[in-house]
Amino acid sequence: MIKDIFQYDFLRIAFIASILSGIAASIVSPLIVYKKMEFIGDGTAHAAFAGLAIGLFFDVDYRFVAILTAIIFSLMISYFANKNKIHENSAIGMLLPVFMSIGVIILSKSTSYVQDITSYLFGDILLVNTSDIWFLLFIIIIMTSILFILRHEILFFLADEEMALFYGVNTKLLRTILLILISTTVVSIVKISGIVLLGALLIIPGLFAKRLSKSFLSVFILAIIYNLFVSSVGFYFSYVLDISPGPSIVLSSFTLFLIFNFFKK
Amino acid sequence: MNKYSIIVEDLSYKIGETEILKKINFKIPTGDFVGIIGPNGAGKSTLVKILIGQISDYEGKVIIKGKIGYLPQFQTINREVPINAYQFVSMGTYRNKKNISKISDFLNEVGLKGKEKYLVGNMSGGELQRLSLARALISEPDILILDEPEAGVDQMGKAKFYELLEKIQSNRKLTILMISHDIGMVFEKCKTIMCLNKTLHCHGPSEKIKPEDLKLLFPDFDLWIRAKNHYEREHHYD
Repeated sequence: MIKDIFQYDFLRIAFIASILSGIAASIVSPLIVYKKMEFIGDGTAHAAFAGLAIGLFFDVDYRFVAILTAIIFSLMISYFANKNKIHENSAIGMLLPVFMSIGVIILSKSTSYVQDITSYLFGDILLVNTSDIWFLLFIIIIMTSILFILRHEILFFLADEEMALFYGVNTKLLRTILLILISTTVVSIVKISGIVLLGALLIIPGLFAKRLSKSFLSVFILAIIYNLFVSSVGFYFSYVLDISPGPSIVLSSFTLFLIFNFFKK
Repeated sequence: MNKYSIIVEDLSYKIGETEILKKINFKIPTGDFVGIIGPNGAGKSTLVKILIGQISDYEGKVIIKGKIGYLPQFQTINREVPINAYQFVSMGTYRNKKNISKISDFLNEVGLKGKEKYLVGNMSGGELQRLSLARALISEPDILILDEPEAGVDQMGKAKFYELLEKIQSNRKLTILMISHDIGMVFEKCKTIMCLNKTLHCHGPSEKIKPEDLKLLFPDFDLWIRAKNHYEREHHYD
């Protein structure tokens, strides 16, 4: 398989894409798990569906429209959470069908979307191109930089939000920044994993890392290692068994988590 | 030095049509140790939130003279997050980094010497309360506000905590305002008592507050006292 990866461009790109999307997802995974916003991945991906529909309808790059839609979605969640004290998960549940409906209405006016939508829903790693790779790399660099710069604020926000606010951390702004980061990550990996499957990439590494970590830094390192491993294993099985890479990665991730849970007291 | 640390005049607060606090007036002299008692739903935590600036849409006047240190009920902490004692206390230096090199000294002061690397999630309720105290003290407050510091702490931990609080108050000349459900401890440790149940029922030196005042506040006060006496006899607690 390694020989084939070096021999075939599409395979090499697909492999790199699955590794990079695993890294991107694992960087935000601890934030999602500690803030108990497990619903955010699905929510943002569905919201980005409206962006995809607009992109297809007007024949423009779907990524930027989808990111824009996802950011509007996260700002709205942030607004409801900050202003109306509605929990993030409730706000997501409320807004998700709204954005999805907008997407469905726009797509119903378009003529050729069925194939694109299927690959968007379930992911199609073999359709990934080099521009997607650069895009993912760009997102990872931006995300890592922001998380590094705001590491103290994020730690205080996750550990004790009420007191972080008391001691001067702008928790409203931080919540918005984190939601935007998560949303952008979701849009960047959705082509690889699909709306339906990305939850596994976003949540399982955080759950795994949370059980083992002894420091804030190690949470992120463990989450990245986890997704790197399951992305590689999942990709291998998809090649050997001739199955779709997205579901293969998800099943690998879940299986490893089950094994881990069995042995970890 | 200011004569009063906190002055509250005609303070009222409503959520919708429900009155949470009604026409409250008091002055807390600098250096006083005040215990606020009252039944559940009396507005104690709301009063604290107003004093620390978390609620601003109230009616009336609130004057705070000095910097506030605050100890919330420890339930605000997400124990799953791997934050160690050092990082936790450093939160208190977020605005002013002056004392960041003295975190170990502050941990030492609250009896947590050498526990810098301990994860907060693994600490007992008593340790966590003292850690929160170190975090509050490192910001060099003039006024310390505590919201039910006994919640989730065992009897030994409570006694140790109140002892520490007394020591810190006498060393630093802090004004302390403490909400508590532990009426016995409040009467034992606090110089001044405030009885709150939406309005201020009584306010004065602890030795002048009578059981009759408390009966108005707590309908089951007699039952509570009997239970407490029984507990203390059984456990030889003094």
